[in-house]
Amino acid sequence: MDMTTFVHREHTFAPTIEVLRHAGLEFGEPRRSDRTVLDTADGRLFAAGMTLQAVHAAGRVHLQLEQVGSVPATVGVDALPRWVADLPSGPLGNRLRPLLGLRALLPLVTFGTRAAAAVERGGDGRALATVTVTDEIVIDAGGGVTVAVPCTVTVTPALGQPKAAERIVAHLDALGFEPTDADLLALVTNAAGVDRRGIRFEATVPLSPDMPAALGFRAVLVNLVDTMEANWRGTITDLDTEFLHDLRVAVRRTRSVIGQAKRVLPESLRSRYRDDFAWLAGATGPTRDLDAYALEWPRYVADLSLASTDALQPVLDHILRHRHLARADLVAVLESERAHTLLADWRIALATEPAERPSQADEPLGRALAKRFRQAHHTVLHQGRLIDTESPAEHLHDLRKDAKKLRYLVECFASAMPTKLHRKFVKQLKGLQDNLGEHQDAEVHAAELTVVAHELSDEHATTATLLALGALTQRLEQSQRDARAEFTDRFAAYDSPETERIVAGLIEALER
Amino acid sequence: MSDDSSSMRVLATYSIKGGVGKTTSAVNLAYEAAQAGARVIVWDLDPQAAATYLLRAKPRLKGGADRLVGKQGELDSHIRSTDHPSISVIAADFSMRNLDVRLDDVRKPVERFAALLEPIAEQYDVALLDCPPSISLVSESVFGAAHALLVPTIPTPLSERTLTQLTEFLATWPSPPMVLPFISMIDRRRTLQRDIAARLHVDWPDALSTEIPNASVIERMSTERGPVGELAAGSPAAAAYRQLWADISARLWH
Repeated sequence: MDMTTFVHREHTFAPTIEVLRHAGLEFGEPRRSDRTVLDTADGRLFAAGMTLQAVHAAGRVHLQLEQVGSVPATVGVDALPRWVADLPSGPLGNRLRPLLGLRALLPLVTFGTRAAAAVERGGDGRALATVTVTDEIVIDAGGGVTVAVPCTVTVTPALGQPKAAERIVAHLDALGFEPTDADLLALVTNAAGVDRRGIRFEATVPLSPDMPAALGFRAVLVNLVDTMEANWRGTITDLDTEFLHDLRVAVRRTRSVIGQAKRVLPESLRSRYRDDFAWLAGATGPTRDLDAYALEWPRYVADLSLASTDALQPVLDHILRHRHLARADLVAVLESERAHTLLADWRIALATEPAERPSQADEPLGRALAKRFRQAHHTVLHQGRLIDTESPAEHLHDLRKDAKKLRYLVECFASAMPTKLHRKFVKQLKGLQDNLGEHQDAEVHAAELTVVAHELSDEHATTATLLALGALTQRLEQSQRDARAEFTDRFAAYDSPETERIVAGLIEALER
Repeated sequence: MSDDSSSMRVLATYSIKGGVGKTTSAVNLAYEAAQAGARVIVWDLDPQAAATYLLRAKPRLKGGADRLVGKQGELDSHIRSTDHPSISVIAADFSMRNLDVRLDDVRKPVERFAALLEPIAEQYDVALLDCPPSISLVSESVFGAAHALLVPTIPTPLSERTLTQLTEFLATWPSPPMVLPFISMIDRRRTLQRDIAARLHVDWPDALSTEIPNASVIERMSTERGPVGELAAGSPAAAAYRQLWADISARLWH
């Protein structure tokens, strides 16, 4: 038997306890606490069946972690954790650490309660069930709005002891208490209008190879503009770096899908928004690049001596200063009239039936995708085969862009493809993309360090800093050379009969 | 059992010798582990069922020891709540006196406890096995499941001797658990006890540095049925168990 929650239309806290006392339950003194539910913006804990609450009571703060099918865990903390690094050491932190990644723990809703509990015991003193009456649930729903939830009674059976709880539940039923489908937390989040699933967007939407191509392309683009809007505010307020990451990916996917929509969407539409989204993508680039730099920093300095790491601190500070400036520019763009108009107009354009009907607009989506998929795959093969040990780095960068276009195409239209083959194809492509990404990041970051070195030497950086900077630049250049040396094998793994078999299977399924 | 940071750690309070503080240590360490954010299950393997009593559970195993460790045995249906929300218990009863016999009936008895614990490994962070004082097939199954044996050692020559016997036995073991002795029930007013305690840390470099005092509050546990951390949170004994858990977790989770 699981926990059962009741409400009563008339009884408030004291009368409820009085009624239950008459039924033989002995309640302890009521305790007050303020609770804040924490989760990532994309609801990672909720998706894992977890609920994390910060409980403020009697001048102390505890983190309480509940998970479906498990007993709760509690640990005292000095301050609320926001990042992985802030999590308490020990088992509770260990359970959260793999889920958080780069995301911040954000307060979803805060509420204050008064609760009194009674433990029903057997003759030998063992606990059989706990009855908790909770009242004065005042919710801070944000923006100074408070919401009230009625007094609740929760019956929790002890493990392996369902009978006592069943008896109490039957008694509450008889007394006119009404069982609810939602537990206390669900009542609170519902009242506050909080969706614990968070903002979570897949690249793809439900699609069928038989639907008209224009309809499929529009559905994908609407999903991408939804993703941009969901991440807009979090990017501006800089809650964590993943908002900008997800916003930027949605913009890039949009540009890529618009690029692939030739003869599917009207040319006038494509040309206007291709330019506008290029502008938006350009605005998101510098901050994201510096974010990536800062996020990679611990890895870059991981096995340097402590002295070198200390000497490099001015470099990291310099990067973070630049990030601060880049962010100010980004925020100005995101809050600009042009950006808001772009998104609003784009939505209208996607919802409006165009007068102009391009030649492939009504052809089956599967056939339209098959052509584009085949073409994008051949472009990657063609460009990759031209690269040899003498080829300039730009050729690898160009190949990286081509591979990315192909990846976006298969990701955004994934639901029109057979899942198993799609997954296999992405695995093949990802192997190549990871290599090209390592090459690109190392080159860009090494070049950036050279610029930083010049700027810091103007700022009279210490010799130790400049020497450590030189060592780090060399290390990045070595990483780039390593990635370059590995390219031949990685490309060969993609340019293989196995990939061809998968591609043929995907194309056949799309054209069927 | 897996060793990654989020997997369940299996610990056993174990000693060949009786009356050294195994059960009080199991209950107090379970409490301190829970205070530190762990979900804890205490498995009482001793037919005296003292841990069961201290945790206010009913000393009754549905179907007896056979339903627990026999061919059809499993732990999940035997798990009971305690007064502490983060601590559960698998109670013992007198049928546990036949545990050796029941284990002898199953295939690979030495691996039996590990196999039984595996299905509940996602539900708990720490399993604390409170063992009876002996060296038997039950002990061997404990050794096969445990990451660490927590060995309460009272500062007497006899106690030191049993610790030696244990390590000599485990030396033949293919993949032995960590052996973490700690001084239990020490009266630091006594020179002999202080000397033996000092020698233990020299002879056993892996020994945990925290010592558990001989304290009346620990004796009160049996009348008030709770851990010292709850009965007398500010007492030296409670502080000692808190520190002992910190020492153990530093070894378990690095």
